[in-house]
Amino acid sequence: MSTSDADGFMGQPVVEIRGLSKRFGQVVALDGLDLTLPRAAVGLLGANGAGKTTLLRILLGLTNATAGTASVLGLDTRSQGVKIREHVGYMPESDVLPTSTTAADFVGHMAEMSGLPARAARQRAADVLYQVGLDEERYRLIKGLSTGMKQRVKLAQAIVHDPGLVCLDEPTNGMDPQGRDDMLDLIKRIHRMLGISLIVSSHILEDIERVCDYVVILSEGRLMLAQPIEGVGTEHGDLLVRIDGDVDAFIHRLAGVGVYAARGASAELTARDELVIRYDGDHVYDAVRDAAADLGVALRSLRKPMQSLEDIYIGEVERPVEAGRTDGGS
Amino acid sequence: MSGEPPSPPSGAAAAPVLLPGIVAGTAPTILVEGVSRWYGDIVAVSDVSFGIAPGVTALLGPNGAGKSTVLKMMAGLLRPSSGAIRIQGRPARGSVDMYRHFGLVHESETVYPFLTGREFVRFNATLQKLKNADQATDQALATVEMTAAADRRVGGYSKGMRQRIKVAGALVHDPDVLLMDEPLNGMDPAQRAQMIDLIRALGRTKTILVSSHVLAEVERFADNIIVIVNGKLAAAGDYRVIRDKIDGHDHTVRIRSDDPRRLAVTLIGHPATRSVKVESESRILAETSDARAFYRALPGLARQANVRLYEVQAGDESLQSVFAYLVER
Amino acid sequence: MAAPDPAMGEPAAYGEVYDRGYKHYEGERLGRPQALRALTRYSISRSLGIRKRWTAKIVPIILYTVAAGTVLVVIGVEAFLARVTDEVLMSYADFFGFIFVIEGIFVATIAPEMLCPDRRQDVLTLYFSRPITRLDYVLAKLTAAAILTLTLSFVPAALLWLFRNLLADAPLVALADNAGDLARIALAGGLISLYLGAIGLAISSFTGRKVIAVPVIVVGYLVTEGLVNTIAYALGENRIADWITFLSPATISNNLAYSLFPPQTGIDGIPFPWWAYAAGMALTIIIACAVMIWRYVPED
Repeated sequence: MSTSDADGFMGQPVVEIRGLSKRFGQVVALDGLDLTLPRAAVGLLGANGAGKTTLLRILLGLTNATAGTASVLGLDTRSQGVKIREHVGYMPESDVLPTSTTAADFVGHMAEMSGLPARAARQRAADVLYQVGLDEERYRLIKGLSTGMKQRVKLAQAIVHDPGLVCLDEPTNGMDPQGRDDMLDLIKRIHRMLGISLIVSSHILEDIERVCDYVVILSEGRLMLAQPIEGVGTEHGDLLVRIDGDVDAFIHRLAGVGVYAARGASAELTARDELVIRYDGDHVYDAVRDAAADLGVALRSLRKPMQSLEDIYIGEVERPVEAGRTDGGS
Repeated sequence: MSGEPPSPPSGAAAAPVLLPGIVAGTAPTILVEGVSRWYGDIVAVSDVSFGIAPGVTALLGPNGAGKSTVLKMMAGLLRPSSGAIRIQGRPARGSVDMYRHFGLVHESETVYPFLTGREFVRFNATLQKLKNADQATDQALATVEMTAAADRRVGGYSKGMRQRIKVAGALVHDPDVLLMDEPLNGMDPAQRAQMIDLIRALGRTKTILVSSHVLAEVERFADNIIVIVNGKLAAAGDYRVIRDKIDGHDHTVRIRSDDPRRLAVTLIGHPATRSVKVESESRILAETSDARAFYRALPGLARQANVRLYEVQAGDESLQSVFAYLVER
Repeated sequence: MAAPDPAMGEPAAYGEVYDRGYKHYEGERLGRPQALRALTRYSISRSLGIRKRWTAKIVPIILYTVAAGTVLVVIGVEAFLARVTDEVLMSYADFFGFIFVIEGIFVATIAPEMLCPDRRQDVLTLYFSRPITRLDYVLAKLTAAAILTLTLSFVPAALLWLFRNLLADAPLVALADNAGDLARIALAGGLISLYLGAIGLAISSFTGRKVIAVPVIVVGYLVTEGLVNTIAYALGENRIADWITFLSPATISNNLAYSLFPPQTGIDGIPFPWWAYAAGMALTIIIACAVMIWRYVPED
């Protein structure tokens, strides 16, 4: 009968994978993966069929690899799958909630199913449901809850047993903009304030950028990239500026001090009416400021864009050989 | 932000607005006039009027607040309890003929799994009674970049591929109007980027209405937005202009500079500044009641304080923020 | 408000804000055994309709009432007639025949309830993310079903035995003498309940829809009965017919009961000894369990 194991895992990487492969007959789902995940909020990216779901299932001990090893929180997935699941939570993408129970009952039952004694299970369930934003709704039958609330119940059952790691698969699926916002905040809080490691699998890069501090990209069963998000992308050379006022005069004024500016051409990089200013030193910032001040134009935005996670992703995923791609040519 | 004729936007060229969403000089492709829809006691949509112009318009709204109902009525799948909807002058719920003129990419539309992609698109072409069905099929498949996978069964497609095939099916008759419900659902990031580009490209010559919840992406492809909250029209038009007109929320501006505190002191001295908060060693967050005046004064004040500006960004001009403000009670 | 100065002799003011937020769990973790207990208990209570609408409770309540009520009625009549005759109103064998029907209805309600919703609503995915194996899931469900069905078949019969012996002239002697009866009751009750339960669960493991499982169990059972009996009848009085009856749930159960509790007076001899029927039922139980394992254990 163990008390909290959380302390034992401090400092260790949360997941360690060596040479992991998984075949389903002819199909290679994972191909010799080597990966170490720190105690972070990890974003897992990749096309459908790139191996993300297979990887999560192996980490949860739900399926065995064909070759290689994986360990979660220091426990080997092949031999200690059951113990791993005591300390890992899973929020699947699909509908997995029963309809004719209340949220409180179900999450309490799930807590017991994770090994908590009955009374503690009920208490934790009530607490966690409150933390995820369900007040009196937790006593309502699940079938009477909106999509957003159901997603929260799914999240609640994943964290009710205070796991060391939570795997979330498309956590904002089907939610409206506010629901998505709330859910992302919740997830971020779970990681930042409670120190629970996360693996978030999602297709929405903005969500990953918002919540995660580490990113892993898989493609065709292979690891393409695994690094902290801050390191992702380098700053592009140019400045982007938006002004309200006489654009031509502004461009002309800048040219007068040797700073080249032009209207934005590439639609991907610039928002509408952004100007591109060539950067060749910090003096350019001052030139922009002064030109705007002298002409009396409003300086609405000024930024030096980073290469986005999207550019990185597309760059990484385009690399493998086109032949044999199952996805219709991307 | 209700439906009475809004005053022209200040500052930029003031175009008189005749109908929410439509600026004088453009003809609306889709016209929604006084539309309501109720189910017994429940009023799902309440007296909504707006127009959709050519280009890409996004239809937004919280779940269960009337957005899907409005979309269904526009697609002719549901009859308004009162009011009328016209697409290119024709009633939305006219004869079966009307589907010649617009294409629908609907979430729940089933695509027969035993057909190949090509067969499905060809089938749509036949339904549309196209004379050059094969050519149109090829064209549609090429537009969504599914030519390579076209001869495999739809049942074997990933979700993203199914979405693209649905779009091809809706495009095969080259309609002027396209209605799309969550078209990016299930697509991986690369496919999403492609679909966004496709939507923008189509928007140059057609009228596209997209319903979506992922606002960061909507920002990238929508020229205009229509927001339905609690069954009513909450806003219509360019979201940045809408932001300017929302009362009760001061604009926030994030500024990164080489001496934030000195800049803060200078800014506070200006009447347009309501507050300045120090967010980090390099960043401040300013609140202003008069955005225009603030942005105009900023460069001069920075120069006066001898502070270099590295970054200036509106704090709450994202579509996410605008939406949040619109949904507040 | 300035903090009071202790030097001045005033009591220090006190105030504290407590963290209501999420806390880490520092308590016991009981692991897999707890999960299994929880699943078994939960399956039992859901099948009985506990914490659900009253309509979910109706069938179990009625069935338990009928079973218990029958026992009480039988005992009551026997007690009343005890002065006059030693005859029993309902022999144990008859009783099991009666219980068989009750049990059949019971299994048709609880077995689908135990398996179908989990499959249909895909709660299986969440269960398998818990510290149990797929085999654990099957075993817990079998255990829960066994507990429920046993309470319906063995308990009333045991009570019947108890009261009947208490009614005898020398109760304690009677209880001792008839202890063998109790053992046979346990065997018959146990086998019948496990037999019906396992078949019910095996059938339910194929579908997520109760609306399909329930009729299949009922109709399947009726059809099997009808078919087997027709064939046996057509074959006439021969050994093959006797073997065929092993496939009929009602016949095999009845034969087991009657061979364990042979009637005093002339019903035709049962073709096979009791252990043959017991073995047949045990084999069926094993096959049904294997089917369930096959349905749940291989990973998708």
